[in-house]
Amino acid sequence: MKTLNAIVIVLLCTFILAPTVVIALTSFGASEILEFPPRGWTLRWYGYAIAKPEFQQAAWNSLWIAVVTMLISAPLAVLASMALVRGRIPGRELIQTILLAPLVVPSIVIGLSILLASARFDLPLVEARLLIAHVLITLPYLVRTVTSSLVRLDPVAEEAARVLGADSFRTFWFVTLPALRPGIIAGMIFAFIISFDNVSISLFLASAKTNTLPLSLMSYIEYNLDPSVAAVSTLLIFMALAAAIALERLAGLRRTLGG
Amino acid sequence: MTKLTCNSLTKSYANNRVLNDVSADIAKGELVTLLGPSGCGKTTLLRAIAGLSMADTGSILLDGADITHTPIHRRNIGMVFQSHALFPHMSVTDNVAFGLRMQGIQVDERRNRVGDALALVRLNGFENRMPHELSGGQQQRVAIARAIAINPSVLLLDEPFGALDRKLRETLQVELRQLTKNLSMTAIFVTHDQEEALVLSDRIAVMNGGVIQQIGSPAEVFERPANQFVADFMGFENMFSATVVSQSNGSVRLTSRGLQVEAINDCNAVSGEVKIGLRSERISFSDGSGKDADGVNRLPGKVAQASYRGDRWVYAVDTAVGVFSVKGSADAEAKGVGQPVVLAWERAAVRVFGS
Repeated sequence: MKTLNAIVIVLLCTFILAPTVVIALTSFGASEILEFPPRGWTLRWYGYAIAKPEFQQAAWNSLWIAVVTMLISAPLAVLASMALVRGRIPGRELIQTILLAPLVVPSIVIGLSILLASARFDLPLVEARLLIAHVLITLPYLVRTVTSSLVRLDPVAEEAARVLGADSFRTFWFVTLPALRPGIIAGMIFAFIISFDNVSISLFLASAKTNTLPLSLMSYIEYNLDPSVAAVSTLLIFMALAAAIALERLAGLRRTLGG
Repeated sequence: MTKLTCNSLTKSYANNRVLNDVSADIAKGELVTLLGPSGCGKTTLLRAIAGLSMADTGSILLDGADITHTPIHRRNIGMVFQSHALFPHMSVTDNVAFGLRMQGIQVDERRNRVGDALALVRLNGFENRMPHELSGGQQQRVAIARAIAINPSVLLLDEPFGALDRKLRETLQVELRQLTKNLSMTAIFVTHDQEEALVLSDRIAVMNGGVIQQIGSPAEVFERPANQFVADFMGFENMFSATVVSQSNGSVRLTSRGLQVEAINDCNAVSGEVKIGLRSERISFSDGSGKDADGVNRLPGKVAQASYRGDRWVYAVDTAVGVFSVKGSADAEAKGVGQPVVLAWERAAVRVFGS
């Protein structure tokens, strides 16, 4: 029974990790085209990819869009969570469902509909519509993580602060917000990754000026098959991995605070 | 000197009246317990005083000033909750200093007053701990320190020891009483535990159905409950219907299912159908030799059930009037089920309640 368990676990991990490993190994391949397993080893594709202006520009676009998205989403999510958890608003369940809807609606539909809407309403900036779309798809993650932090906070702690002389703003600032911090940070990391990796929405809404890194990789790969794409992908994977570790650390932190 | 006055406070949730014309005066330095079953309005009354909920009608005066519409954070009230409600992300020091910080008190003075407050609850040396690193009793001590650090006009406690085990609860009860007495702090304590109320209070207000049923010293409430509800809540296990036969000079004769009962009536005139109440520890087993004191009520019966409680035996005794609960000494030989006994009690042990 134990060996069977072990076999299943190993197979599962292999299944999950295999694509990552394949891409990482390919990125060190010495030949001019993507091949697995590589026949020789080199680091030059990393240098090539990093030095490539179109990748640089795309990476910069992806970065600032992800950062701004997460900075817009986070306060919105905090406000929404306060209303959903602490407020007495009619139709709370419905609003919560609507807020989480972008998780289940195919993002390609969201991209298309925002494209149509922005054309109709003459949205001036291509950046604006891209940001709106990214906020829309990242908000559910933040609402989820912030809400779960807020649910953990005993509302009596907020009452205690009020009785101790804090008005409602100071109660929020000194008691509620710090308690939400793990949820906000975890949600922001999620939002960053979701926004940074997004293809389906950016595909509709990005322009040449706001080309994101995933889009730029896609168009590059259409005409070129050298391992620089694998090198960029590997860098992205490590970034996501770092974020995941940070997330786990924070989740652990949150458990301690809850206990 | 009156510290806090509640004037005809009324509050309803939907159609449920949780406070019904509640009035009370609390003197400076007094510790008053609001005692009653859940849903009796005790917590609602406390929260109305704190400002956490608003009474529909009536007014609250603190130090002579009407605070009925004063916002919560300007009332200068200390409050301790059942769930300690400490701020989880703040150290013990920061928790206790919170109220002082809100008052804009400078760091140096803050540090001194936090130290004083922690000393009062015997928690020096715990300044830098986080709340989750403390035991339940320590958490509640920090909560008390946090409430008294601001030197509140009145200290409110909402079943603060409810979640703690019995021994710890008893220790904290004694400590809290000493603390409030040393500081001459006016305090209102909510509990459903009559023993806790007896230990702590200068006065007990027994509440039921949104009404204060009786307010008085622990001994008054315990010995001379004003009505059947208070008697029931204060542990009058034996309660029977009876009819008044005659009364004279503070003494009443009654009958209950053929049994003649004599009682002292020191409060109100009673007549007709009444209830009589009798505490189990005031009943003894008569040896039936007839040498009992004058004015003793006597009743034969049979032991129906015996249960051992460590420091005593508790018997259920079947009689013509009904089943009596009687306490017996743990030293005395245990009485067996089915054993015939004669119960005896003094006139003064019987309380009469108009129904």
